[in-house]
Amino acid sequence: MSDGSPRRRFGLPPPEVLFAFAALGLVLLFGSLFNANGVFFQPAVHADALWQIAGFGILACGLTIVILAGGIDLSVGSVVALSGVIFTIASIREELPPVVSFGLAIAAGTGCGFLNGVMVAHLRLQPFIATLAMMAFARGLAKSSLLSGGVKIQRMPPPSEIEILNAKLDLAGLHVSLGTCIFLACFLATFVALRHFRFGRHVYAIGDNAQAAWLSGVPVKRTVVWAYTACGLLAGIAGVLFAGLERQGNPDGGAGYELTAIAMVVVGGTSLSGGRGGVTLTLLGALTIGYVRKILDLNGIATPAQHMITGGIIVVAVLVPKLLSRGLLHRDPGRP
Amino acid sequence: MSAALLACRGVSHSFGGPRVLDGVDFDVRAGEIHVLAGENGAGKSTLMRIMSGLLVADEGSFACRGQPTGPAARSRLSDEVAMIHQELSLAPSMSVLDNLVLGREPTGRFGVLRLHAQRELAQRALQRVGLDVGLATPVGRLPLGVRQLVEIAKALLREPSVLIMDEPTSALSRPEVLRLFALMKEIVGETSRPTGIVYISHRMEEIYAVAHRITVLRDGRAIVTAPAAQLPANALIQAMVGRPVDESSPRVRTEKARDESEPDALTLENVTVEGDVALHEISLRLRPGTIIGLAGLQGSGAGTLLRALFVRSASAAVTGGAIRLNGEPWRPTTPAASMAKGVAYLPEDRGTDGLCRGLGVGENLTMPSLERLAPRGWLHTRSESRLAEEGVRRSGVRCRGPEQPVATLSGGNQQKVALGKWLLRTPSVLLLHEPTRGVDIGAREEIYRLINQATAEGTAVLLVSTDLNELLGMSDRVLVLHRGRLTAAWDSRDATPHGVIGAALGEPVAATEGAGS
Repeated sequence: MSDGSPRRRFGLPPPEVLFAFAALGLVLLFGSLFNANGVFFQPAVHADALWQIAGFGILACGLTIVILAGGIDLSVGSVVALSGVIFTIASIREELPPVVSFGLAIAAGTGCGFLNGVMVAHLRLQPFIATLAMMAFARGLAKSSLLSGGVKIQRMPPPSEIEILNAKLDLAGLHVSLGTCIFLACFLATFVALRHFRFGRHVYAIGDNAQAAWLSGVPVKRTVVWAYTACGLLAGIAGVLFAGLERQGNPDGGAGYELTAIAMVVVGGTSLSGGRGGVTLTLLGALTIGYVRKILDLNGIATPAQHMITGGIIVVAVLVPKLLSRGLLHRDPGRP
Repeated sequence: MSAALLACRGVSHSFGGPRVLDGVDFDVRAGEIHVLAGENGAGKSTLMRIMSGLLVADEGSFACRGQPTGPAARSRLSDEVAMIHQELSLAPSMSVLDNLVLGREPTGRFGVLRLHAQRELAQRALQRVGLDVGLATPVGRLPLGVRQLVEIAKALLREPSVLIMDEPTSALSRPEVLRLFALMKEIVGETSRPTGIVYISHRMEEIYAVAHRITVLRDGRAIVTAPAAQLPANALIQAMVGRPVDESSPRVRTEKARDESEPDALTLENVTVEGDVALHEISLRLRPGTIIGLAGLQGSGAGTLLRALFVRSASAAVTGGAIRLNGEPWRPTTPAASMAKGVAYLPEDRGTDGLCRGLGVGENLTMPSLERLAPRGWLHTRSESRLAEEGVRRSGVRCRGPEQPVATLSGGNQQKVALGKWLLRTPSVLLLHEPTRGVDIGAREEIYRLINQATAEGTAVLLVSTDLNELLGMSDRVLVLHRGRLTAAWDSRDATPHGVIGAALGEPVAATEGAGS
């Protein structure tokens, strides 16, 4: 047992947060060294980078909740396609009011998440299997003749609600797109839900030891359903953002996005076995992975190489904190 | 009798802490059934694991049929000794055949299974135990008694010279038990292959039904080894209990006379429980501010009863009888519902059931109180940390702060958290299962202090413990369970360790003033 920890006494954040910051710092340092003739120092590049991270970041926020509760959600990529398709059909084909288009898309995501939760909590399916099934189902629904019929939904020029997402807001001289602001709002909402609501505490308890949590009166099933529903809701929002970013509804879009989002959660430092980590870590992880891609882009590295490098970074980002904190700090869960 | 098949001399072992075994001598002769008796925690299981080569002893010498073997000669021991475990070690979805030959499959070149030889081997093994079941039947579909015989057949297939049976009858019906005993006598009676059996049991009648010799272990020492005929039940119990009871009782009774018109905290009338152990006709009355201790050895159902009073599940569920909680009829369903009625439950295993060990001390302490801290879902951080600090202070948890992860605390402090989180709710009925297991003496006294304090505030306690000193010292009244029934009851002043152990082993009790209270 260790004695009074100076880390706490001086109010330093727990080691996980420090590691996540260090990783991001390193990546940004790399960016400033290989700055593509100064392009990296232009504010517009960063506004752009954030806008590209936003959709994945929202997915990662939702996944953080599910992973903290000891689960996993593989369906978010398909849900992105589904909600994007629904959003564009409503706004482009049907020309419904923007609020309705947004609402329908988000409701579709929420519904998928709710079904995931019911399958996991009440039908006792393993999260991997339940969400694998939803991954196939949502993809099929997005491509079915009921919705897109397998073709991309777009119009030139795009309708105003799609342009609004790309609109740059002038925040103290930094031109940030509305989509980025939505990402930050989603992050804050997740943070508050996990930190300041009973729900969040229940999520951590279930991820750490569901049996003990249940015996302490935690409503395990209800909490699990809520966790997946929240993840689906956020995936629905992400779907709208991706549709805005790509200016189209793509029934084949979003494939593999769940893996990028999981990578962001893991690189941040949240444990895949549940109960340990937090959404602040995920924010840092999302920025790390997003900036790696941006920097490689700026330096003209091709996409296949980008993927290989990202793979390496995931291993390093998980391994290094583990090695550094072995024995000394590894039991501190950290609650950023 | 002939020379020992297996002789152990001076076996000592500790799992990094106090000695679990301390210089034990034990031998098994050809043709004998040697009963190993002792309370829970006396070191029986550790000795058996060492004898069967699962564990390497710190010290000790071993001899198999006169040939000395070093303590580290695990492979020799595991060849000679076969163990039949309490929890059956069969793979339930595999067939009888596959289970029997598992790990010893006769194979041809390149590891190809020789199916014919396999079947022959398995058939012979089943014949030996007199069992007639289809080889293709999945083991999980067989009744428990048959499974037990398959397990024995599997062990015999390895032709061991010593067979260890650890409470093999706990799940068997009466006819199955008799069949097993006949088989055991047959096995040791075979002259072609000298075999000895080590038999562990918590049931007096069984011990005397099969034993040729008896060895009693207590606190890691072999107290006595004698032929069964020379060790009457009385002497056996005395050897198991041994130590004089600690006279200074840790219980502090509140002198404040309680209002007699106050309803009982908990009443059970003819309650039936189904689950891991079936219980019948359980009746008791628990007054506010008092402690009832439930004594019972493994398989008695004491733990099952406690769990069934908190939560309804497959492993423990109240199925009949009447329960009244503070005067109102009540049936346990979910933990949350029981908690809402003022019931709290400290499970036996704090690691799997009691604590979220990756979370902080404070988070664990406030977990059962979140409903109150966040009635509308919004968790008020400041009032939570105030409650957490109060919990740390009241339970005397030694930690560097409420955010320290529980996993990094000592066992005693972890247990204080597991108990303290319930005390913050001031429950009206507190169900305690082994509240001081694996806890050092200092923490033990603090836990007793916490329990005393709770009863002073009016909490009624139902205590299940295999530690006799604790049970007799803390309880106001002691009830004994044997095979799912209440068999004896005393005011704790009148209870003796001898009487309690005797009743728990199934000895008829002379002076019982009716179970119930």
